[in-house]
Amino acid sequence: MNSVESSFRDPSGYVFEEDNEIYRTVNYCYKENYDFLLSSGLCDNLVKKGYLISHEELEESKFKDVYKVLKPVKIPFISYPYEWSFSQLKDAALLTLKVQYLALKYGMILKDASAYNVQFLDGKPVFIDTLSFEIYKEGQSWNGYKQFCQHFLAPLLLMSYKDLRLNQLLKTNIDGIPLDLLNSILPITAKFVPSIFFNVCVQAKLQKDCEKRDIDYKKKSHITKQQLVLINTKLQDLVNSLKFPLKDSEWGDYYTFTNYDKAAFESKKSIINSYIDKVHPKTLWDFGANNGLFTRLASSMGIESVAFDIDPIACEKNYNMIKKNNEKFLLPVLFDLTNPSPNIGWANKERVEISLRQKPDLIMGLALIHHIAISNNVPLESIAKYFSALSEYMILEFVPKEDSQVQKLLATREDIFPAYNAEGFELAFSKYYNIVEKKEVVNSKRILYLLKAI
Amino acid sequence: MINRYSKFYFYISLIPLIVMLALHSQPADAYINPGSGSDLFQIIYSGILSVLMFFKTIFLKIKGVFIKTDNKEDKYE
Repeated sequence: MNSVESSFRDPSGYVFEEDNEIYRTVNYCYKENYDFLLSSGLCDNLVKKGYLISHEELEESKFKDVYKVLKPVKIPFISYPYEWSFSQLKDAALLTLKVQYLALKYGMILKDASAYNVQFLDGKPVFIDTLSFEIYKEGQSWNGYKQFCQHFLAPLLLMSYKDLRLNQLLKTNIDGIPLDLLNSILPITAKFVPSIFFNVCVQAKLQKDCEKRDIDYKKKSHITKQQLVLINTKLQDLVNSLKFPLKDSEWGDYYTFTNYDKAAFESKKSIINSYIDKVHPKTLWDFGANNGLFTRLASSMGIESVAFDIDPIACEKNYNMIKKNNEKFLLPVLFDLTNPSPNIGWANKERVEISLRQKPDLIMGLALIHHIAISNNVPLESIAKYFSALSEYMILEFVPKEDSQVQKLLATREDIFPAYNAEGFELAFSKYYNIVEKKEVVNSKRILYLLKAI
Repeated sequence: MINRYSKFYFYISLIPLIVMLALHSQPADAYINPGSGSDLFQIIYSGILSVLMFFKTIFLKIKGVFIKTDNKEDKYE
């Protein structure tokens, strides 16, 4: 049994992994809340709506000191809020608010509002923390309000009003972006919107004031349930009103595949398909996936696929396509291969690097290697070493110097890459991989390799 | 929804803000720190929203006399 390292904050239970399955304990201190969650019908309703991850209760458990052991549906790939596109984060925020709205209807309330309680399954966000609900007590405020603002509202406002890349502040602020920081970055135009003015400016000011003053917590205050519902609906309205910062016309044709003619494109597709068939993977990661065009070759076969890309616009397009076509088995992840998501949080183990989250059966790197080797000066051998540790098999497209995409990269810099050619590539990769197959893409000088790690 | 009515109510509702700033929050019985500022904020904000809703409800009731609206599915669920 391996206890999941991020599962230590909530005394209600903990998550552990055994035989590649995920389990969640329900401690005795949470018994009353858990029983109410089930008996009230809230759990069933949330699961029916696809808002809450479904679980089964283990009838027999080796743990005698816990009330129940749950076996929730396993999320294929755990992703973090700083790896989500704008719409992914927005949908996760709305899901959290809808869950809170329904919980209040059933006489319960969310005790937290962490963005890490949301994951993506079958292209949709789903709430994964079954123990986040507690019985509502008349007059109480929402303890997760501050957390919701820091985890969801702050990055969404910054992305919408300032810059898409500012969601990366979630990496350095594991419990969300502090509201005073948000207040100092957010443009003044945003603060003219009443709900933003209140939720950001007023709340940040009150937080500062309360830090300084010695507040008497014993004094009773009272918020009615109707008022909590009202706050929730206004938050939903605010989140719903936030728009992706680029207009459709500005990013609709953001990516065009002008480097391929139709024959080359079909050839590339067919080679990739044949390689995938050979490996027969259950899980696949595609690095530099762009808007997921080639990742879909795998996900459409029912292979659980993750489409990593550094570009927030590409990830946004990918996610919107998934939503529009109701696609499954595909998850876009915002990811910088030259500076991957690090191990962060307590003991550097709360949120971990991708290699500690899953070992995929196959990885792909299409039209990618020139970006790493030439734009970032990473030696080919070092690239091979990194990829070979991630998965046993890899489909890699070698893009030679004559290719117009590489020429573009070299146009503004000195060519200090004498070994960047097919022979040099094969030599460097041979230390970590055997070449299973190699095929040239027609009407192109590109080569597609199927590699197996040594 | 930010429309011209809600903006009007927004300025009216600033009055109770001053009064409510004097309020304090109740004890926090939570495993995360809810933040006393955010707790206090909810009291103030919900008060303001309640005032807005009061006016909005009156407006909608008057509007309802002239225009019939269908019962829509709860969009917040």
